[in-house]
Amino acid sequence: MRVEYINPFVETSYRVLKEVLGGTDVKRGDLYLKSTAMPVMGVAALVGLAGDVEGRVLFDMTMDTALNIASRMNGEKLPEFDDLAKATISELANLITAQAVTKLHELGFKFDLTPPALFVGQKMEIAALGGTSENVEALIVPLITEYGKIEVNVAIRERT
Amino acid sequence: MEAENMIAESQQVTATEEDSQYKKDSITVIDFKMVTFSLSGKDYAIDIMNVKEIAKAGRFTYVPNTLPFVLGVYNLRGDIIPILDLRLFFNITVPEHTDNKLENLLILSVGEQTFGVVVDKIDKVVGVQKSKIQPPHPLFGDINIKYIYGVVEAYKRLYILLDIAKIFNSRVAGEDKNRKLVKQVFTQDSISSAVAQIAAKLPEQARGSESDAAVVNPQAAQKNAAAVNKASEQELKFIAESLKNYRKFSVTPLNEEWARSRFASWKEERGGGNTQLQNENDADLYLKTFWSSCSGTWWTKELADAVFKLLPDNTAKQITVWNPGCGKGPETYSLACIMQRRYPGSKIRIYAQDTDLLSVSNAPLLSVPQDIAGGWLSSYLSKKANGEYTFTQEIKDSIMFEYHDCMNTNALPVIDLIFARDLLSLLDEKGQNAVIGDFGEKMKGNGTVIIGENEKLPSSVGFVENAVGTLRAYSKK
Repeated sequence: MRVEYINPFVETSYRVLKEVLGGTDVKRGDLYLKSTAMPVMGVAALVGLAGDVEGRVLFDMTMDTALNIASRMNGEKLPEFDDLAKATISELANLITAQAVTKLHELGFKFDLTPPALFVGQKMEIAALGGTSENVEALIVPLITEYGKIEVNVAIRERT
Repeated sequence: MEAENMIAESQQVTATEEDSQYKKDSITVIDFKMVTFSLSGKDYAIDIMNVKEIAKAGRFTYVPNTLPFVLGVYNLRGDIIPILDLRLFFNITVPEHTDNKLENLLILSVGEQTFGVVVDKIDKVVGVQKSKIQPPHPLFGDINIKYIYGVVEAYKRLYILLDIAKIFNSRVAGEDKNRKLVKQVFTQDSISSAVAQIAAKLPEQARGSESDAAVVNPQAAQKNAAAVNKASEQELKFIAESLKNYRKFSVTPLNEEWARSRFASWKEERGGGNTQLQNENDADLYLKTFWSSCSGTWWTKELADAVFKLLPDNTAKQITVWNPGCGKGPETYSLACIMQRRYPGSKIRIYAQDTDLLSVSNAPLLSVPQDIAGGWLSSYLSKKANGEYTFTQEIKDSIMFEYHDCMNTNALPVIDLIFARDLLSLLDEKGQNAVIGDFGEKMKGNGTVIIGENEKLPSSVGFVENAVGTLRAYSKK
């Protein structure tokens, strides 16, 4: 993945998360690359990218984390993962991706994003297969907050 | 419906007439015959030894859930054979046809299997001289070049000779041996004998020091030497293990030659009994002689000129370079400058990749230290307002730095030059093989691979060495 892409995603996910959680402490774990199929913790919000590049951004967290974050963002305790909670998590994914894409636009990379899709369930796995059945390499940005851990999983590649 | 056999004989008569004409033009020994045909107006050919017959047929029996280019099966006089459409296989547009129209079929036999392939038009049988067949040139589009055996000219037309064995992915034993187009520098035998020589030399050296003491009893000396040999083999194994632990350096056939000769000099440096690597410092000391000149840092003028000389002529509009393991980037920039000088008319595109996030993130903004900026790089530099030297926009634009692990899938276009000095040795053996495989897959037929000065690609992977000075370069067989 082009190094120019990395920082906008790391920076905006960190900043947006900190902001929506009311300025709590957000710690960034070590970034790493992965190209194998990986389990999803329970709730995954996915935003697709298309244009000069192709790829996707996936926000992965446990159900508890998702509920905590949704509760915090809405300013009320949500007892279950209902429509409001789902919409909130989708919006969070949208916020972060959109801001990152805006930043990349300023750097001269043009691409669009799809509306977020949300997946909830147990024992889910994200396949590592790309369009041509090759393994996609993803950058993992772990973000640790007092509400739980979110993993931002970015896989972008240039069209060749 | 029974296939209507169109025996190539009538066509061959005309072909032989032309053949004799052709023979007069230039004295040609015809030792290779091929059946020619066209796909969307372009001329292709297949070795006649693979062609069983020519037929016209249609209305193939569709088989569900097969690959898109499989049209179905067909009953050829009692044998059920699969029918493939070469145009679909190569992503060439298929002309529309009515249901009843018969297709031109080439019945091929590859190994023990028989296939039918559908082509646009079957032309004739053409005889050529085998040595006139040239390796595939990457300019020929439409078809992935790995399926092309070569290109040959006959009757002022260029025929693209398809590699049927590759297309049908079958291993036809024995036949491959005759298929080498370019003369090999090393044959398998010469390599193994060279290795054997080296292997033989090493124990001799080990024996040399020992035999002085034990000269009285030759039998004992021999026994001793064997024991010493075994012991040092063991020591070398331990060292290899430590190198892997401390510095992720894998001793494999790729660098074994170096590792062995280094072991001999290491023993001299350290003296007996103290050869093991205790910590990372020891590992670094051991590896000191491994690194290529200017590895990971700015190139000297000598190295730059050597690389310049090594680069082959290339008139392509865009020249693509793959530089895995670029680290902080000085080598990549040096290479970019040399590429710019070597191919002024072409657009250079360098894919520089590393797994060290910090190094590679800073690489696009790298500035050149004062003492280097005065040297050969000076004409590619511009001075910023704060007095720092950076590369010109043209150089910067030619490089794309990526955070990428080359052991994962490499999504790259076809490559002219692969520059990977001292990288492969830092991957484990499986990774090395995968990456070397990718080298072959991604590189154009006329491309070049440059690896570390103390590295050596195994002869079995389809590359031939053409070293210039200390630089180790390889091209495709």
